[in-house]
Amino acid sequence: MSLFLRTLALYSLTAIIALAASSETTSHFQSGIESYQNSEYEIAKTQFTVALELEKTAAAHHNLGLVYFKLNAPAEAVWQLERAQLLEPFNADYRYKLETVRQELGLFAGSAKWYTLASAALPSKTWLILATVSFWLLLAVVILPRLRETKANIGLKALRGISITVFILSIPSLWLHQRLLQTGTIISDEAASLHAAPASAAPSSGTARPGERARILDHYNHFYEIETEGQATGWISKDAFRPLAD
Amino acid sequence: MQLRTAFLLFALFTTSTLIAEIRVSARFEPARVAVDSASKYIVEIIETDKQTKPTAERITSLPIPSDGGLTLRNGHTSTSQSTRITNGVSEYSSTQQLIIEAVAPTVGNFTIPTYIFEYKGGRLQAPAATLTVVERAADAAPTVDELIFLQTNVPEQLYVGQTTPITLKLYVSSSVTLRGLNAFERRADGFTVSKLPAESSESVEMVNGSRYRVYSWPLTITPISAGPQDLNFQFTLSAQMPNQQNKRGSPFGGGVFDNFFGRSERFNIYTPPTQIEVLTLPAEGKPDSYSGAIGQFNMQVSADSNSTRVEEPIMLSLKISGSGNFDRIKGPEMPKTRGWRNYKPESTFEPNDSQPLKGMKRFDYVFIPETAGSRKLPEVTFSYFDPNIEKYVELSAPALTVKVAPSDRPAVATVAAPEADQQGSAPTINLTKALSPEELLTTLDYRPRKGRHIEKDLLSSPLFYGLNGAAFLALTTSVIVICRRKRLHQNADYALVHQAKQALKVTVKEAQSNDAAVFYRCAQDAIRLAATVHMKRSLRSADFAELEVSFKQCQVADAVIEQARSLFNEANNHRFSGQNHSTDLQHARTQLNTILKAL
Repeated sequence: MSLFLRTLALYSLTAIIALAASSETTSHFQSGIESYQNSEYEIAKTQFTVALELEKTAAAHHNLGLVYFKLNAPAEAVWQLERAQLLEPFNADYRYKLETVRQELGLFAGSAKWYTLASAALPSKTWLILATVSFWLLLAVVILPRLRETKANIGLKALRGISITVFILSIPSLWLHQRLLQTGTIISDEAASLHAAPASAAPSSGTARPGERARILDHYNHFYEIETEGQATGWISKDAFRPLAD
Repeated sequence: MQLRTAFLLFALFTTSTLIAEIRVSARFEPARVAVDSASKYIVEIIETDKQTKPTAERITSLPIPSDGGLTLRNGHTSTSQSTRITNGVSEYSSTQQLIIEAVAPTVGNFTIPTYIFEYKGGRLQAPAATLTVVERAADAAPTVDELIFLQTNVPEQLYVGQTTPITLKLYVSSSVTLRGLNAFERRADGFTVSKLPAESSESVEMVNGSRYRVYSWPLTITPISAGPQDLNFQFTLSAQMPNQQNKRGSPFGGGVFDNFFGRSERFNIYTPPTQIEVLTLPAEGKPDSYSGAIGQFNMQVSADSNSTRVEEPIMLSLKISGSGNFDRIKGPEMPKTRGWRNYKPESTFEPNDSQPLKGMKRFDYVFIPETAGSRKLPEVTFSYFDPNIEKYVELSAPALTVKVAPSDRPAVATVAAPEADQQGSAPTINLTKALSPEELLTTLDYRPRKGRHIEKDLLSSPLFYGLNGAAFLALTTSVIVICRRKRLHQNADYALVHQAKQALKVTVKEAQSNDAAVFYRCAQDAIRLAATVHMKRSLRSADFAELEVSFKQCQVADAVIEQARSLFNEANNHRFSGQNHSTDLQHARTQLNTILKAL
């Protein structure tokens, strides 16, 4: 009986803590909305940032992006909107705003390709489960009938076909997911210089525009080696670039 | 003495060559014009230097003394630089011209006297210049100002913030060929002026018996500063004047060829100097709700539903229609009302296509009820200043009543008012509304939802390892099971040994019985089964003689064979004696274990 009561108390305590945390997040989120409505953007920024520290929601990222846009920091806004889009890839509203802010920065709207959208149909964890299950199922369907020296019936053949299809779909999707997480955004206010080596004194190898997307190739100390949308490659300070998976 | 004189002369010569020379001239161009024709008053500052290129200091104003009635307007500057090399000696010069348009009201001589002005820290003297204005000859050709002119219809008086439509009209004589408009400028520091439309409307008007093509552009002006404010517009245009067409003396008789090959000139055309008296809005009678609207307006207030539920939003729409400065109209502040939570409004403006100052501006306020019951939305008050009657007008709409039913969400506990209990279910509220692109961009997301979890490195996650490990185990187990079954089917010896092993396990377990008959039977069977497993041939029905032969073939120890013999004899004695007496089985069990271990 005492064990039951202790378990019950533990569950209740956990539920209360979770509820309190959730309530606190909502409170900061609502305060951020009210500050935004009152054009108090600095306060709204603080509130949405705290809300994000408590719980990472797409809406908080999106709203913080709009606050940055109002505060005339469009590159930061792009990063926040990219992040919101990552959390909710099929939110057309987020996509519209991201494309608009990018256009304000003189960048192409950068609509997602069909295969990127297709890969975003499921979360990466689900793709991983599908890939693993389909791989082992395919192995089993191929190996076990041979061991038993039986001829594969229509059911096994269908299972084999499904496994192959799912595996073929899930591997590129996983690769696209991982590749997306290896990208980031230039968050400097002005065009940032890319260097030929991971040092500020190294010769310039190109420039990256604020809000521009870039793929991380390597990193060393306080620098990332990136390839930008404009095909410029070089090393950039971590202060001027923020990975999407940060 | 001669040496000193020579030195002084040398010093004077050197100084004169090192210091830049500045010359000032002033003139009218042309110096003789017909009455009502414009001339240009030009002040020219020329700097020359043999060492370095002189840099002109831009002059923005001149202290021109009283000019006896001359109208001076639209001044501008022009600078140029040149270098002259004579016998290998360079001379640099810089020329700055201040050009002011001068128009005389009557016939006569108009002289601008000598005056002093400051330039580069020094004082320069502009010489006097005289303009002679004569009567126009009866057959004189019309002036440029008569052939092309610009006019606006601006009111004499406006209030700060009062938006007014005006029309800018460019009159071009039918004898003039307009080649193109090159630039448009406005001098309206005390106003905000709408952008000049790219396209103009064209019409024909008769002015003083002459036919003009009239190009019209609608504009709106809004005063931003009180007091007398200048408002001037200027066009720079290219046109071909009628006298130029005549000058060509084309053998083909002018006309079409003149139009194609005639030389165009650039002209700056100005509106007549215009000043508007801008008044401040009266402080007297100004309502608290006034937020800057000037014009004539009507107000309409509506809610999209008269019933809702707790925490389900309702939209209060305020439509302001009429004529005035819609761009300066802000949505009235809604007071904090008990039982309601509201947000700043979103506004849309639907202009009247033909009249830009007319239209309808709509403010949509989202109200969210916090408690159930019959709740009143706040009273809406809107005020504006009517410049026609020069008074403030206040419009108000009574508070709308909305029935709020308790929330159907289980998590939200609300205390329902008695009348709210009568409500069955609130109708679905459609809050969709077409937003402008800017509104769409800056609209927040009000619903924090948990998005996807972002896994930075999926391949090192426990899920990946766990899933693959489990799948590997399952497949390996399946393979082992299938292989074993296959071998049982295909290999008789293996099947025999397998069955014997299974049977041995069962028999050994049964041999734990304390019943001597059961024990001895099971012990004999166990030894036979163990021998079967060991020899890999069936000895399940063999007697001890056969077993002994097999044991010896397998080089089983003699002591073990003796123990087996003893156990078999004991079992036979017990079995065939016909007595069912209990004996001490401990020794026999030990023997059996020893034999089974040896096998």
